[in-house]
Amino acid sequence: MRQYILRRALLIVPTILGVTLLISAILQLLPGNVADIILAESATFNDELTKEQIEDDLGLNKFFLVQWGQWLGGVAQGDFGEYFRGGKTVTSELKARTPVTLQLTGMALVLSLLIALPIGVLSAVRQDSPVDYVARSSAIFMLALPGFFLATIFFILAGQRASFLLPPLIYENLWDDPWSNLRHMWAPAVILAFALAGGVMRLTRGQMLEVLRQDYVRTAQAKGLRERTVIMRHALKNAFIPVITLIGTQIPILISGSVVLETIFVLPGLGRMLLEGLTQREYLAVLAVNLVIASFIVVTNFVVDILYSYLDPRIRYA
Amino acid sequence: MASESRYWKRFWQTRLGRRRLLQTTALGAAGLAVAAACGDGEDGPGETPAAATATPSGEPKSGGTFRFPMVGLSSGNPPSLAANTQLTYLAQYPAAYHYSRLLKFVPDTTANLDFTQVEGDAAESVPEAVDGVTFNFTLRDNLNFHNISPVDGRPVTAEDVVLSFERFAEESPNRGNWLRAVEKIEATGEKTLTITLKQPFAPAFSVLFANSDGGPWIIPKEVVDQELLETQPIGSGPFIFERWDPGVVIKWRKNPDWYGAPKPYIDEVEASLVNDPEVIIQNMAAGNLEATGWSSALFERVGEVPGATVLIGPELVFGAAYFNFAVPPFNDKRVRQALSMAWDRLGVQEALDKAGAAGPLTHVTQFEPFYLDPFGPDFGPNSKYYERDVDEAKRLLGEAGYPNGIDLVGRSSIVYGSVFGDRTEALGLSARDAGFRMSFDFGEYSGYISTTFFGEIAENELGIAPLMGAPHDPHNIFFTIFHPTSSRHNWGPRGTDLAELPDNSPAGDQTLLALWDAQAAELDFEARVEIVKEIQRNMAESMYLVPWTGYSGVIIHQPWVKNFQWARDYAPAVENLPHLWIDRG
Repeated sequence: MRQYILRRALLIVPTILGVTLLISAILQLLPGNVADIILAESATFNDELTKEQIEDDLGLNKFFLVQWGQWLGGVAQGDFGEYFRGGKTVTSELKARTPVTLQLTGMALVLSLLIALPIGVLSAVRQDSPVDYVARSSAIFMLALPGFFLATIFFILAGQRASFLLPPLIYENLWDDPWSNLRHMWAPAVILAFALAGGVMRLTRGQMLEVLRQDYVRTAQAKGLRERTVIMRHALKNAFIPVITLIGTQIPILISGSVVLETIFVLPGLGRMLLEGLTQREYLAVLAVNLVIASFIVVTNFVVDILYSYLDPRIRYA
Repeated sequence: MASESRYWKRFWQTRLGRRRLLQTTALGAAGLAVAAACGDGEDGPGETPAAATATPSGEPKSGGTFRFPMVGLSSGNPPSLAANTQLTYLAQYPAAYHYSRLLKFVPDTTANLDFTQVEGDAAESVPEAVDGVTFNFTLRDNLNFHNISPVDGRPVTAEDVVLSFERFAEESPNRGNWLRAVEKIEATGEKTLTITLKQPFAPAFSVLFANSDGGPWIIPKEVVDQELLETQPIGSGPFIFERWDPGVVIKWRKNPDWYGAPKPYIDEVEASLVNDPEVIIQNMAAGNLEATGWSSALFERVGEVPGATVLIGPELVFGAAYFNFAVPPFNDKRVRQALSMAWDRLGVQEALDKAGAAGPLTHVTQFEPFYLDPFGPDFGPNSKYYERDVDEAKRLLGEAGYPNGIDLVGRSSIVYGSVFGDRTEALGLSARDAGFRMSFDFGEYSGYISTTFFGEIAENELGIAPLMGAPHDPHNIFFTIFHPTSSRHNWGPRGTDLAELPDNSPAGDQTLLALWDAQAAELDFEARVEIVKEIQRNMAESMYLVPWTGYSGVIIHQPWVKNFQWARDYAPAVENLPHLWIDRG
């Protein structure tokens, strides 16, 4: 087991480095850079600046591997670089924005499990009953509706019918103003949870149905154990193994969903930082956010793998 | 020199004579331009919105917070608060709250896009130009920096202004107009200074001294020395900077020691950096915002904001189709003329402009008093290039070698929004009758900016976009968008050596280059207006860029916002906010 964990851990670093290198290369393929935007957004006459001068000043004319290497050297010392425009440090932005996204995705994850697991189990136990039909339809509904659509509908309904539900326009940190923070966060968290809950609910139902037909479950039922005990103690643990895998693989969905919802709900998180970085061609910000997201996903998957091998001792590093 | 000495007197007489009190008020289009004035009309929810007229608003009341979305192109979020080192207008917008300029524009109660009206900001009054090039400014006696460390409310001196402006001339990327025009600036006393120009520069007031989209701003030396520009900008403006949460909000509080005290009446300003239209609409409806720019495409929804006052006027954005003069077909003037004559500007305007305040554009937008109505009698024979004439457009295309019409791709960006997109596609469809078979590619912002916007346009392609928002003077449009020496002119090919640029581009049009220079140097105000009108006639024939049709901009504000005056600018903080107050009754 220890060797398995060690080997899996050793794969983390090259995976993350590979992601940042790939992102760095892709960024070079995108048309335009920050020098173009700087020139284009000038509001008055200017006859001095040229794109080449700006690129030279910002170090953008170096070969991308050199830029990537220099950035990586800084990262190794805890320095993610500076924004091309304005001189803000990427590190300080990451520090400010990571907790927002972690809170949003964390709340969404918990909410999705609170929604999906009980309903998934109930749907399986009451297979082909009205409860099952409603649950399955709801799951498809949740999977089918994109977050931006739900967010827009939410704003229209809340604005017209229940304005007290509208989130504040100004985000406050959880530790500064918990009430304002939760008023801001609950709606995007619920919308984000919806996208995750549909898939988890369907998989939970499917796995439960499969497990409930296993011999050992029938044996437990034949022993006269209560239904609750059979489900909770015997069936659920085994049914949960693939569900954990699904949750691990859903993390990117949470992150990508947060890009859209952070923009609509004016949340200063990593998703918005990524979007602004891409739009404004702030390469270092994009690289840094991708490093954080990649690390998050890789580590999550690592934890899922560990949990998986714990839940199913047959799993070993091949 | 006699005509020079009379210039400023005639300037004032002319501009006052031309002020038109309109029933509508001007506006800022969502994120791009901000125009004129306001009043306190009332429309109930669900009723047809009516334009507001200027009305008295009762006794001013102190207190309250003014909340609005600081919507900007791509994002309202400035890259930095250091306005002096940033080129982008996004950095200039916040600066207008905490810094002063020498002059400011006069807020108005009309829809005129007239930037010739200026008054003193840091300066106590608008100076006389002694000889056409020398301006003697006297600073206000009660002009102090904000009462916070490290300046602690000390008086603003002429030396502060000189240092600020010299620093601007040394380091600001927005110094192009300044360096071309200004010879020297010197303090002549504790509160007096003189600015000397290299040669007469007619738009000096609006382009140099009241300019708010690039500075110079008056910034105390201590703030620069202690590197506070990014974190604690301190000036002498009506509001004191409090906080900037990137991507979320910028906050200011009232400067109680402002020279205009007891103004500003409001205690706080919250500029929310939100740009989702639905979020803005619902928060306006819920009373969580005091005012906002409003997309004219959503005009019919203003009734969702109970009791809101609606301000309507022409937008202040210059937009056009633009070309690469090195490749066919638009290297041929006849094709450009044909495109202009194929567009059904008035039809598109009628069909799509739901607010009904738009007007046709020429190459100077609708600046008063410079604008010349292309369908009016004064425009002369070149008016035909704006009139829709499908047969003539076909004939010109045939003469140019395209008797069977032409397949084109119009390139632009999705970032300009649905109002722009709808209008562009409608214009494209209207040109089909004449043989312009156009398809459109609305690309991602940076990709579009790095290629099409800077004139990288292939054969059988054209660019189309809002190219400049909130210019203060026709000079800004001529020299930023068209002039071959501009770093960001919107046509191709590019190059620093004018002699190498094609003769069929503005670089080879000696008549037009001379007219652009002439309008800048002409100190007789009426004569300058005539030159600018002549430029519009001239450019109608050359059609280096083909102006689209204007559309309305809309601003709405809540009924409890009184005496709302919206200046025509990107950065109207000192022009409008100090005058309004909040009275919830």
